[in-house]
Amino acid sequence: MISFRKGSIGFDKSLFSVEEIEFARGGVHVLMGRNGIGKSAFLNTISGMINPIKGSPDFDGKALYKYTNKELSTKIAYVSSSPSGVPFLSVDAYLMLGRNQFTNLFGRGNASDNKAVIEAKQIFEIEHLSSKFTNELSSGELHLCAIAKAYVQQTDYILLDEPTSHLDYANKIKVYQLLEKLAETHNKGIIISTHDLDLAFKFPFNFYLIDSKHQQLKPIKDFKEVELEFKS
Amino acid sequence: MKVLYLALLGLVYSCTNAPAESNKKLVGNICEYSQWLSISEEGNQVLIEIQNPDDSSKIYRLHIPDFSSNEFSSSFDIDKPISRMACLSSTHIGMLSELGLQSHIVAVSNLKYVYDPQVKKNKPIALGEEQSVSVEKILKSKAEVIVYSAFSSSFSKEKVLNKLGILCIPNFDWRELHPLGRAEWMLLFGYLTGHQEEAKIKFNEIKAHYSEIKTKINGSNPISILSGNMTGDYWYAPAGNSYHAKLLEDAGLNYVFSEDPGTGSLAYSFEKILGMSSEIDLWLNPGFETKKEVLQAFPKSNLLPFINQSSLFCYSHNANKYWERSACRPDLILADYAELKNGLNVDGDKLVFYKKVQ
Amino acid sequence: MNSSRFNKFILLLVSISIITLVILGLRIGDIPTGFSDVYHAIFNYSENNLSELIIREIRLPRLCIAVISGAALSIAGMLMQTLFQNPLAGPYVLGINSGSSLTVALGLLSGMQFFNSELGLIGSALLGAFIFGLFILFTASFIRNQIGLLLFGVMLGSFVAAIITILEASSQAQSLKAFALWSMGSLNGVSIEQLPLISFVFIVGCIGTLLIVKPLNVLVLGEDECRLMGYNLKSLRLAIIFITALFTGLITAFCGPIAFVGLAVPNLTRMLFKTQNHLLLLLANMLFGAFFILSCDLIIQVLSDIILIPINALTSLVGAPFVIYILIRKLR
Repeated sequence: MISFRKGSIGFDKSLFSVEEIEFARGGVHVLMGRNGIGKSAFLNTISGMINPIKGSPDFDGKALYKYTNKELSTKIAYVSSSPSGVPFLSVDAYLMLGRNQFTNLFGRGNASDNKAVIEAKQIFEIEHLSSKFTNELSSGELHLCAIAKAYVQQTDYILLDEPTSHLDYANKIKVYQLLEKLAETHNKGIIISTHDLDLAFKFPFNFYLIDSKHQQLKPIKDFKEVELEFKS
Repeated sequence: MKVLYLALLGLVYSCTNAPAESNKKLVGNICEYSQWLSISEEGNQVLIEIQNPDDSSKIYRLHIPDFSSNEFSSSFDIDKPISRMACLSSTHIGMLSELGLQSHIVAVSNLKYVYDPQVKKNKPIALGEEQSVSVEKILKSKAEVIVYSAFSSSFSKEKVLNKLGILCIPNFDWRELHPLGRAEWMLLFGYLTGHQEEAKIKFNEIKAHYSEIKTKINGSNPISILSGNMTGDYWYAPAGNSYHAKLLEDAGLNYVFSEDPGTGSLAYSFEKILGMSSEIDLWLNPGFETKKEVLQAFPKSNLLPFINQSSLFCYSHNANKYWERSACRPDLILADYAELKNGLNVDGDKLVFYKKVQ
Repeated sequence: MNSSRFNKFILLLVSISIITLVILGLRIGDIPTGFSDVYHAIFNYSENNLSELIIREIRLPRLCIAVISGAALSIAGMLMQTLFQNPLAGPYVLGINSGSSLTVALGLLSGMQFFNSELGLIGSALLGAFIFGLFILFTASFIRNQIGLLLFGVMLGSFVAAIITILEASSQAQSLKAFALWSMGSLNGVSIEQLPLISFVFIVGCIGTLLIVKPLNVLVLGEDECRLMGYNLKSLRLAIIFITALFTGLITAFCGPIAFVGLAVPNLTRMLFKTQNHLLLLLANMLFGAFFILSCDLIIQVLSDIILIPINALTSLVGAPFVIYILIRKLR
């Protein structure tokens, strides 16, 4: 369980505040809001990359700042909104980097690591990209690979910043389906931000809105609240 | 003023025109050994010609006129003896000092390298290196003439100094290969300052002394000399036809590179030097005063057998003295070298310029 | 990615070439020697034999430092290129060698006797590298991002260059020549007694690199990714800088600055092996770097009768066109 009470989020100054929020495992939690409202800032804060302006997120009962980088990396995987490719880094090698906490001293994977990578490639249907270098991929292909890399990390929580932004329609659906499955069958806690609202609402996710008027993060039940936010 | 204009014109004329017949030595040239300096006297007139070693068409002419007639020539006229000179090289200071004319030196390049105590006492003005002399400082010194060495083939300030009425004279003593030819340049200083007779006497003394000491190589057991030192990857030593090699030859010493042609420097690998080390008795001019410095600069020098005995000599008695005086007193260097013929039994006290490296 | 058989084959080929070149280098020189002299020089050495003396005291140290300097500078270059995620970074980008240049310049050009008589050339250079290394490490612990570090290194280099120019302006011709020759780099300044120490420091550096191979692999994805994978970025950065300073300071002290190896070789190996796996790259850079400098050295020896080429000139002549090639590829 990730929880955040009486806090505020921002880079230098507060962008919005949070009264009380809980993200449980076994569900997909979707953040929505206008551009620049602070969705990325929120995800960065939860993953430990930046500090909250006020308060501290809680991870399974322990405050976030009390975790070391290493401990945190076994609990959370993060996928940025636009991953970058690196020359001469093949997709296989890229995915194996996701197995960082399992591989040996020199980064070499064993049988189970290899299996995990193969399985991820199958699930995301990126087998045909195995030997290609990450800088040669299209942004959509690279994004899929990045999500696959987060998958092989086998963490309890996965945070994804606009995971569907570079994907075609079919892949958008596929990703949402996958995230749903990961939440249900693997009991993972998934937190995403997205602009693909119409599509997201078709899935049994939990929705949250960062209200620009009150500068507050709050859960929502009804699509109408969202419409109100974006129409005003 | 008129004379100055005419003189300037003459200078420009002689420098820009390339007289075709100039390569011949002057008739009546009194310089026996010098390659680049010629002085001829015709009655009361004197013509001094300085030839640029690299460009045979560039000849610098100085004319000391017969004051009783009104003739002038197509060269630069000196209308009265010079009493204030700026000297940009140590050798120039040395030559004037040797003639007792220290008081004529009003400016030098760098006070740090002056040896002669009289010159130092007169506190000449420091002008900086030849490439970048300060024109204002030259003016401040009120020098009438500035003597330069043309290391970089031309003197950049020449034009502007000429406009200010200051005569610039190139001195190619450093290009002379014969030791006496180098010393002969003191005649130039003699004529410029009106002390030519004293200069002639002095030079003849030196010449006589030199010939006295000069000997052939002792056939049975000549002392072999190595010169130079490692700098970077290679050992640099004077070549077989250089000034230094000639001195060693005249002193009766066997210079190991005397057969290697060239007038400049040779560059050899350390291996080659090590390979010759059994033939070498003495090592000259490593460029340092102490053995410690020699080893610091190139630690592998330790492998040379002749570094361990008292067989290492440098002009370290006083480096400034060497650079200043050696050009005009080749007889003294020759005496030092001749003393080295005693090999390891050299009496260090007898040496004027040289000293055992500590 | 290449097959691992191909990789192993290439690495073996380069290793054999290195051994061959070393044996050749021991045999070739101004003084004629034979293979038997080489054998004796290594195994039953006697000081009195001139050929053996030359092989052991002059050629062997030169060849050993050629191997070590090529390897060390290439590894340092690899570290810098990964830290800055920039294929144009080289081992000197932090400004370590400026420290050595400064102290050597003070010794040769300013006449400060301390540097000349007490420490000697190598001692001065080591001192300079050490002081600057500490200074850079200290500063790196404050600077937050890569650009800052890069700029700092460049400014440090410019600052030192300015001081050196002032020293040069009032120097005699002899001193200028000596300093210029030092700046050209030389493999001849190392004696056999110094080799064990140099080798030891080199091995320490290699072991250090080996220990950070895994985080280096992740670092190519960027600093944020690295942090997310659980690494303390500040310690990692300091470790990389420390190892680079060790290698660069060591080589600059004993050989003077040697250009282009550290820049060209890591790019070459990355392109040849088509990998970002730093374990493979560590080995590849070590071998290819050693091979590169060794070949340059032998070319210099062979041509020394016809023309004198300083090591820096040759590495630049070969390295610069290669770097231009990389630039063109990158820009396309």
